[in-house]
Amino acid sequence: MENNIASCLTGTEPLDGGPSARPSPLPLRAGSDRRPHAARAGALARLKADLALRVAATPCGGADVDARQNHPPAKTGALFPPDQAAGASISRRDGHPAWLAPGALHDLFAGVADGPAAHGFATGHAIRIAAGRPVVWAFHDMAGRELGRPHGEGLADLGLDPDALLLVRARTVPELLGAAEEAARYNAVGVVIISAWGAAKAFDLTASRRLALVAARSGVAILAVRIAADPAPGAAWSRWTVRAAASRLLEGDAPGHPAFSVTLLRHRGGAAPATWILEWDRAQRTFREGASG
Amino acid sequence: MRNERFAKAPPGEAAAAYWAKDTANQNVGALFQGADAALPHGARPPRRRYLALWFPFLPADRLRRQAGSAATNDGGKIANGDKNRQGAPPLVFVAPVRGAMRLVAVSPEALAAGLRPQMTLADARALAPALWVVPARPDLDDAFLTRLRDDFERFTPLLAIDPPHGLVLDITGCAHLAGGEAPMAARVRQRAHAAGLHVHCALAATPQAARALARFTLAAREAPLIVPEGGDRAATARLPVAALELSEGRHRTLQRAGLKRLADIIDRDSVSLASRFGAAFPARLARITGAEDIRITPERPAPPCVIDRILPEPVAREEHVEALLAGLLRDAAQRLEQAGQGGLRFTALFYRTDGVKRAVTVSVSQPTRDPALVGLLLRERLGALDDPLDPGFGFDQIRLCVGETAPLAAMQSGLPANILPATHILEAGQEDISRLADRLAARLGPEAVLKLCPRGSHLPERAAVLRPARLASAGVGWRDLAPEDPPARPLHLFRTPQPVEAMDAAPDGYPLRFRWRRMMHDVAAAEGPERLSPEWWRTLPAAAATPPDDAPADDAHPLRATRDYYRVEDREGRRFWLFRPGDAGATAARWFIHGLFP
Repeated sequence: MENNIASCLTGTEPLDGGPSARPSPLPLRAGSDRRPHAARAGALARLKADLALRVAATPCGGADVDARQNHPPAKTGALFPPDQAAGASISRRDGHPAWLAPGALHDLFAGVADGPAAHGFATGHAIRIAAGRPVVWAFHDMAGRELGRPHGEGLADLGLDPDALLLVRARTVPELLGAAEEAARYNAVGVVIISAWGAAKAFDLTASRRLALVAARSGVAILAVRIAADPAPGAAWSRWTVRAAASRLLEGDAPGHPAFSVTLLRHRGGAAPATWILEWDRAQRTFREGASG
Repeated sequence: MRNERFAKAPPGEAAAAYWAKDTANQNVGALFQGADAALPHGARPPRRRYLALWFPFLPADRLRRQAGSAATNDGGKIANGDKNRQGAPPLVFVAPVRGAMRLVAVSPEALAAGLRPQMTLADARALAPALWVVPARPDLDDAFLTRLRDDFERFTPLLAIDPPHGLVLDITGCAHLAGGEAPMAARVRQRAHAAGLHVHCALAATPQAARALARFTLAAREAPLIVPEGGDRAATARLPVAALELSEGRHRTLQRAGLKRLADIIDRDSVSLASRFGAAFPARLARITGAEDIRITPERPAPPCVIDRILPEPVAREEHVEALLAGLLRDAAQRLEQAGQGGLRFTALFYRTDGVKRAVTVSVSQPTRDPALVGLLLRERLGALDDPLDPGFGFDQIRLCVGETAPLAAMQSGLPANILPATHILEAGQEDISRLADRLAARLGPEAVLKLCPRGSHLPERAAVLRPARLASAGVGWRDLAPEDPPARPLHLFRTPQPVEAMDAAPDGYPLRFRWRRMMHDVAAAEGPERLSPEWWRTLPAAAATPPDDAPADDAHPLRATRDYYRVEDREGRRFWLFRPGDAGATAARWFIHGLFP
């Protein structure tokens, strides 16, 4: 178990102000390290302390630790420092998608009416993470019927180059998951977006685990947008609900830039659940905080 | 005498190329159809040869086959079934014709009992009291004939259904593969017999001559009737004039004139015949007597590269089928390489011993001849079939057609590509994204993998179209938006705008509240109108087609009218793209949602 933790966490750079820089407040469990290298042992000790802190910080408690270790993000796995997770400023570390890491699966849940908002949120992240690489959008036919099909000009208006987008239509959820898994195997792909409609039985823990493993292996981010489904446990690195939010009005009371109200429900990196109001800034290709009250 | 015709369409080569596999060592290069250029200038091309098949008892044979397969499923009562057949009552197929139930087809037993097609059922019952009467099912007969045609495609690519109840095979250039025309005809006949069919067959120089001989001579029943080259005139001269298949009135006229056989009219002046029996008559006669040749229209053009594996023993096991496919793909790759071509569409055809044919097609976006890649795609497609490939008692022939090719320069095939299976290459992620599109298209169907193409139109529904990734072409670029502006077009666009119930119009013209999908939305902010006019150069013909006073034309097609668009945000923060078709001054404004913003 310890080796597992070590291998998955040593790759992460210590974040400024993060707990890994602090002295460990918890004692190291004796006999847990079978590796002779002192340096490694030290790192391990730090990481364990770090882990313990996070376990204490998350409301789910320690029962979940084992599950949490199974799906590390690939290499740039973002561990959320607690003070940041508190919601002070999430766009402070500019240029780093602090909440949706590549090489991992992220679940975005949305109600029926908030489908476009969830897709907008996913598209924003896809633009950030893919950085010019192709984006594959696997689209459930049901979602296409209910929300309308993705519109090229609208995508271009959000900042995603439609030429870099491959749309895959799937009639059923198993087809959808198969196509997404296939696409996520290619590390030439930047991001795979999945749009699933309804509480599908096929989108269970096993399917979620499969996707998470594929993403971890290839380094491709999978954003699973699940519309008209209730948030359910899964193997995703982070789990969110997305709702539309009132935008900052422009002059003449014109609706402004896309705004979202996003709630973090669960983060394997240990970030505490919180809600943010975010606004998509196309010019900077980033989300700005606090669109409206 | 018909050299001009032959010079236009290369004879035989398509069919010959079809069989190139069996003669691979002699003419691999002749595979691509340019090979007819090799014909010495002015040389007389070989005459075409047609094999006509006629199944005189097709409906009865079809029914017996069904009963037979039911009996076999029952536990091998074939012998029993045969015995039944001896004493079987005469079988007739009936359909209402001109107000009476008439026989349309009969079985051999019924024919022996003196029953003939076009008899009324009452007359037939008087002749043969123990009668098995079955309603005619021409649709099933046609389906059965289509299946036969697919199965007989193993003999030649150029074949057509010859209604009623017949097939014509253009076997020019194919006969030598069976060891000559007689063995070829015998093989075809044997295949039909094995399928439980009565068959008449005749081989002649024109499709019409072969058809007439097959249907109007008794000799064609016992054994294939083969007319030697140049013997068409003599062979067809003995046919009755019925072989001309004229209308009843004209037939009677000929009979009354004492013209009983084609020999009686063959030498007559064609001008007088034309004046008496119509302009088409001499041509019909000339075609039957082999003096004039028109081609059959084959079911589909022969693809440029076809390779076969004809199996002495049927194979049914999956791994054997896969090994055969891999071999076919290697051969195809070799041949494509020699021609400097890459394939774009690959079709694998599986011929089952019982005559069922299955075809599986994969397409790629870039020309390729990599056997591993195509093999992978084919396997993917086979795995995704709705009803899986059922080998039954085995496949006795597997064919690979490269349906569409494009030039592909010879390439140094890298060592890693050769020694690694294709899956490794793909998982390494070095492949182009188009490979991913191909794999997904193989799994989900080509229409499921789409790209967005800009079309340079100001109308949203025409500005971006979804096209299969394979066919996507770079059009005009995407429009640019000033960085400080919010999105002007929605992320989701409905194909057909959704009507909403609007109320409380604001002074600016947009509704203050509206109901959509049983939800009430209070408008908090709006921007507009943005007026989009229809493209008059497109709608003009449609407008001209509808009468000018036809007011509901606009109602039926809100997208045909001039539209005023508003970007609207409700109190919940959801953003919509609303529009109102027609003039702003219209009394009863109807509102539609065309898209949703994030």
